[in-house]
Amino acid sequence: MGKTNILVVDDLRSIRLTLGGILEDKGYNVVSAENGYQAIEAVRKAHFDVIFMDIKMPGINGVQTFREVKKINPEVVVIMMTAYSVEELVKEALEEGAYAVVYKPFDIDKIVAIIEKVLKDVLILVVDAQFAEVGRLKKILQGKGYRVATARNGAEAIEMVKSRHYDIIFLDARLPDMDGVETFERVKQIDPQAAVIMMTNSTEEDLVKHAVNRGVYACIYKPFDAEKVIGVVEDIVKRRKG
Amino acid sequence: MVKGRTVGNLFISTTPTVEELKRSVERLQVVIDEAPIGIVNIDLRGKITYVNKRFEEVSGYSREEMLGKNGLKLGMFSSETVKLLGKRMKDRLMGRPPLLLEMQFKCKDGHWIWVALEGKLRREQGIPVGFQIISADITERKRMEREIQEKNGQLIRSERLAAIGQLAGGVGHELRNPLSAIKNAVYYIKGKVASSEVGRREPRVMEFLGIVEDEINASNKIITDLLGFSRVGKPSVSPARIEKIIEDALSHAPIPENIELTKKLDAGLPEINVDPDQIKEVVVNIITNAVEAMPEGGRLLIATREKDKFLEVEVSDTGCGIPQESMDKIFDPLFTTKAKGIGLGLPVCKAIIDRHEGGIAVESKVGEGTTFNIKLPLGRNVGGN
Repeated sequence: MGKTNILVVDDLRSIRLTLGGILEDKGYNVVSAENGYQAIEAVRKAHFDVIFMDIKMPGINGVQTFREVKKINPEVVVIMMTAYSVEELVKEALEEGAYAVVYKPFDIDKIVAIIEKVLKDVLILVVDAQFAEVGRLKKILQGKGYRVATARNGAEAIEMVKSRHYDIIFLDARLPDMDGVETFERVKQIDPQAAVIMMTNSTEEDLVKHAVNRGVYACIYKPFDAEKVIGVVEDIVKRRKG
Repeated sequence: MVKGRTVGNLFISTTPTVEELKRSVERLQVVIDEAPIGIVNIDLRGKITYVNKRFEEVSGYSREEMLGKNGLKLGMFSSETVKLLGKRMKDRLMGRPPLLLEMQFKCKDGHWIWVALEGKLRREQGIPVGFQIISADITERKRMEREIQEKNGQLIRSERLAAIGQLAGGVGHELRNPLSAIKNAVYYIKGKVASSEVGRREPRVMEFLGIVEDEINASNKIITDLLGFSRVGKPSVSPARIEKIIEDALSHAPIPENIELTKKLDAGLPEINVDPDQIKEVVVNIITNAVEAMPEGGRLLIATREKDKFLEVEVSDTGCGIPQESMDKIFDPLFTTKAKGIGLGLPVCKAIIDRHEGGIAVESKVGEGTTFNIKLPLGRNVGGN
């Protein structure tokens, strides 16, 4: 894991240099891109935690770029920057899930505060092959203000855990490519700090016992109860803070 | 000779009897008297020889008051009109075509009306004997024409404002990018200098960097004002309470301690259909102006009331006042007397109030203070098509 990776996307060299330079000076890893295409390329090559994206750029605009970036790295935090009150685009960006919009000229202290807040956010990974289940869980968690990323299978999940820390991982016991417990073992090796919650069917009692013995934080049975899910998550967050 | 016509072998006399003629004249008299136009005959010296009933009604003068008098000397016309009419009448005697005029006319009770009149030379057996003047009351038409003219003026003004706004907005936006980079750069340099030898040895370096930062923010404020101006759009109207809008505005425009604020807000006022944000902007602007007019302190009064289907908001200060020569210009964009102003505050206010189909007026005396009066229509939707 290590340093926080930040991508600065702006067609203006002066903005890229100053914002990028200051953030580097603050200890972040900074890469910059001068248009949407370069930004998409950068996101393909490396993992970024936060992207500062100018809205008005030649070629594809910031909102279009954001859409493409999201396909590659769905959980990346994108902060839109604008010198304009192109309200339509700002609205669009927020609907697309932009984390914040900052208006130029901005205060660097505010920018740093946003980054710090992003880094403190509770990040949750949901690993399940069933689209409907993932969607439902994601909705419940996002409704409580948590940031949620998703993976469809064990291999994908392991790749994601390698690239960054997730505070909580919801892991389906039956993944198409590997056993849930096996996935858990691999995850634990990469990021021992992650709290893993196993999702199983109520009939798989042996599996549950096995997983808990191995160090899974909790098991929840499908179909899960929203309140119980939130309860477990809040419990973990409380313990982490305390 | 007896006039008549032959039907078959019958001759029918058509020569009217005296009785028939009398009745015919009476009928015509009724028509002339009741006609919806004023008719006045004068002789060649200007003496009134005939007026119809309609003219009596419109002018307020009775027939007796007018007959035999010189029409130009009854006080119905301004001296300029008298001169003009005299000349035009003479022209008619020289054989010019009938006189067609629109002019103002003073009724007996003192109020002025607009009339369209047509004056024709009257002849008897080929010899000019005077004039017949037919007049119609066109006061209502004139009023409507004036209204249309005013509306047009407003439209042109608001179009001009929109054009300025668009240009200003575009330029303003473009400036924000470089300002942003400058601000970032200053932030970085300040951070480095603060902890350096140069910073300690040369205190002006930090001081000047502070000035650069302040001025960047001041520039950005100007841009924000410009953008606010370019965005005076159609109000998004919802029912609102004026007291709440005023309280909101006051929280945005802090009143210094040396200014005594009095609020006379009528609590029983109905809700108004307005864009609360836009009206708040107007109130903030006017309060800010009032505060700036009283640097040494003074009294600020904010009052609301209902009057003639309008809700009125009055903001009075005891500040420096507005000189007479500036009064006509205060709502013109880019007119300013402030060192740090671009002259868009009041034009924006006016544009907003116009959009609400209301009115904004100002009274001021140099050295005594200024009162702004905002009128907003009650009980109907504004901003509709």
